[in-house]
Formats: sequence, C-alpha cells, structure tokens
Amino acid sequence: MDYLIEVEQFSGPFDLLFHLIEKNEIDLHDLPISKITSQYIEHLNLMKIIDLDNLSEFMLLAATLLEIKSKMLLPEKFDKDSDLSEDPRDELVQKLIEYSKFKNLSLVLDKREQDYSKVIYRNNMPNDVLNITTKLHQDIDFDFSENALINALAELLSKLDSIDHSRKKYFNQIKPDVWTVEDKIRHIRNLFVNHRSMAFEKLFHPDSARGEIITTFLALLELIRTGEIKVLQKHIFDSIQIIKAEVGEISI
Amino acid sequence: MNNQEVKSILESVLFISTEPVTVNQFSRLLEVGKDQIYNCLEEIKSSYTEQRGIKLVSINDGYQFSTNSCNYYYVERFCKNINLKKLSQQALEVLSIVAYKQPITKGGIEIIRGVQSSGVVNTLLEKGFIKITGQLDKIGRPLLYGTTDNFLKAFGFASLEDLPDINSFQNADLFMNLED
Repeated sequence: MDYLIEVEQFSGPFDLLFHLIEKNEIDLHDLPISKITSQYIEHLNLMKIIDLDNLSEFMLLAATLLEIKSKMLLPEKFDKDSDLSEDPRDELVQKLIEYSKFKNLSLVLDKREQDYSKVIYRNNMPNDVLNITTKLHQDIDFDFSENALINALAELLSKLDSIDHSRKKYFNQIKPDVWTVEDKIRHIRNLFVNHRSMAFEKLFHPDSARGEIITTFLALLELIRTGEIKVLQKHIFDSIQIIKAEVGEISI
Repeated sequence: MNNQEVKSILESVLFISTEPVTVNQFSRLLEVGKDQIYNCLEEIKSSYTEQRGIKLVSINDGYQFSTNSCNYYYVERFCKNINLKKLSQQALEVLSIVAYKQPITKGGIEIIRGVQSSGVVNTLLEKGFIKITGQLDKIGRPLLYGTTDNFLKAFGFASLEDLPDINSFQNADLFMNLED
C-alpha cells in the first residue's frame, strides 16, 4: 500500500500547535493536553525526516507539553503550596493567544502585500537609468558654509570613484543578465495559465544553457516558497509533477 | 505665491522625487507656510481620481506619486526591475510583531514566535522593511528594531496608526480567517 503524506511547512512550533488546535476545533481555554501532545509529537516525527530546521525549538515545545501533561496528572494537594491554584496550561495558552494574534495579522499583511505590490513608486525603477538623486532628503541648506563646500567636494569625488569603479567592472567582468529570476517567474506563471499541472522536465528546454536552467530552477523554488505552485511525486523515482496551487491555498 | 503657483511647483517636485517629500521640506523649499502647502497637497491628491493612472499617496507625513494599481499588468510588463518576490510566512510573522511591538529586540520577537528568527530579521533588514532604531540599555545592549517607510508603502499604510487593531483578532475571528 502506498500513500501520500503531505506535510505542511510550519513557521515554528506555535504554528504547528495552532494548526492542530484549529484542525480539531479545540477550545483554547480548555486544552485537551493529552490529545494535543500526542498529535504534536506524531507530527514532529513526520517532520523529523523532512525538515531539520529549527527542530530543537519544536522539541522544546514537545517537552513543555509533556511537562504540562505530567503536572496535570499530579493530585490536587500540590496546589496547597501556592495561594492560587494555577492551571499548568495557563502560561502556554497565554503564549499561544499572543502568538495567534500576530499569526493572524501576518495573514492580513499577506493579503495587503498582494494588493499593494501592484502600486509602483518611482524609486522602484533602477537609479542608474534615471539617475535622479534628490537633494531634498538631505534637507536643503541655504546657508552656504565651508562644511557644505567640503561635503560637496567629497560627494563629487565619491561619485567619480563610483563611476570609475563601475567602468572598470564593466570592462573587466560584467556581462548582462541574460536570464533573470523575475523573467522566469513570469514564464512559469504564463505556462500555468493554460495548464494546471505539468511535468518538471517540461519547464526546461533540452538545449538551454546551464545558466538558464539554474535561473528557471531558482524561479521554481521562489514560486514554491510563496505557495503559488506545489510539487508532487507520487512514487519514488516517478517524474515530478508541478501543480498550480488553488487560489485559496496560497500561503496557508 | 498663490495656490495655483504653489500647486504647480509641488506637482513638478513630486513628479521627479523618488522618495516621499514632507510638508516641512516643501515649506522650506518654497518658503511658503505649512498650512498652504498642506492644503495644496490635499487638493492635488483629490484631483487624481480613480480614473487617473497616477495617485498621490501619503506615507507618514510625506507625499509621493504612485501608479494606479489597476494598471499593474502593463506597468509590470514595461519595467524590468519590479520585484515579484513575495515575503515568506515567517517574514510576515516577524514583520507583524515588529510593527506592533516596536522598538523590539530579536529576543522579544523570538519569545513570541517560539522560534529562532535571526535569518528572517536579516532578510527584512536587507529588504528595507525594518531598521535598527537603537540599543536596549540592558546587559548585552541588544539592538532594537522598528519598521520603515518602505514597510508602510509596501503594505499600503499611511502611518503606523493605520494598522488594524491587534486586539480585534478574537479567537472566533481567527479561526474564520484561517479557513479563508
């Protein structure tokens, strides 16, 4: 029997814990610690194979969960020592609520980034083409002093330096970027206008140069990172399929 | 100077500027009172209606022209250097925390997220969404971080007061949002 395991990428241990709480529709204020702990550890075991990043932090939360679980098993008399009979879950729940606010806000920001990345300002254009530097941000100084002259000269010299420098670089080594990741992102997006999925090999022309293949691959990684597309391999050694993510799936 | 002249000058300077220009800077440049400048700027702003290809956007106390987002498709095809890269989920989380808790140390961010955040903080610094605003007067003198005007621009906020109220995210809302 073969089955497909899909492990989502979690940005941290709270993200994973939060996902579990959300999935099970659990009331945050009455956390079933035993259930959530075992599910958390189960997930962690899956992730161990795939994602070694930040594993220690994920482990730390697992240990915290186990600690809370064991505290809750202790008989009530333990509480007599302290004035307030504190629920061992409280601290974790507080942290989780705090985290969830920011998690939620980050989703709002994500949406806004999509909308407002379509608003373009002048400074997004390459400076060397337009070559406009405004004096305004340096605050216009109408009293001409010696300092101002010295500064002006220094600025002039540094400009000359940078021109010389870029000239030197131009003749020595700089070659124009034939392929850019941005272009390739556009290219892949265009491919997915008409297709929902596509074989990995189809992205690359058999006779493309090494640089182009690498650029395309980087663009692919970028799109996977932002959640626009997903990759899938049904069986080991199968060809890799690239799938367009559903609109609603993006970045969640 | 009458309003007509002031508006004409403001428009020319705004057109050429690659950064937001503040009322104070205009006032010094034109040697005209701040109230007049402000009124003229607001008049220019409202004269660019939704039908126009250009908008005047306020960012903190500055003003800058931007394109109308409706025309993004064509602008994007015309310009080579528009950044198509989005921020990762991790980066957005850190950015949300910095936006609300600024000035905040990296340690402070990590306590909320429960995960090590150096890499993400550096990426955001590089992209100019956050900046170092100072150092905390405690052992180790950790750096404090805050958001930049670039952050406001990229997410369409006029100022930090424009951010949604963090406490309005109740748990019920939260689950609904996640399902979206």
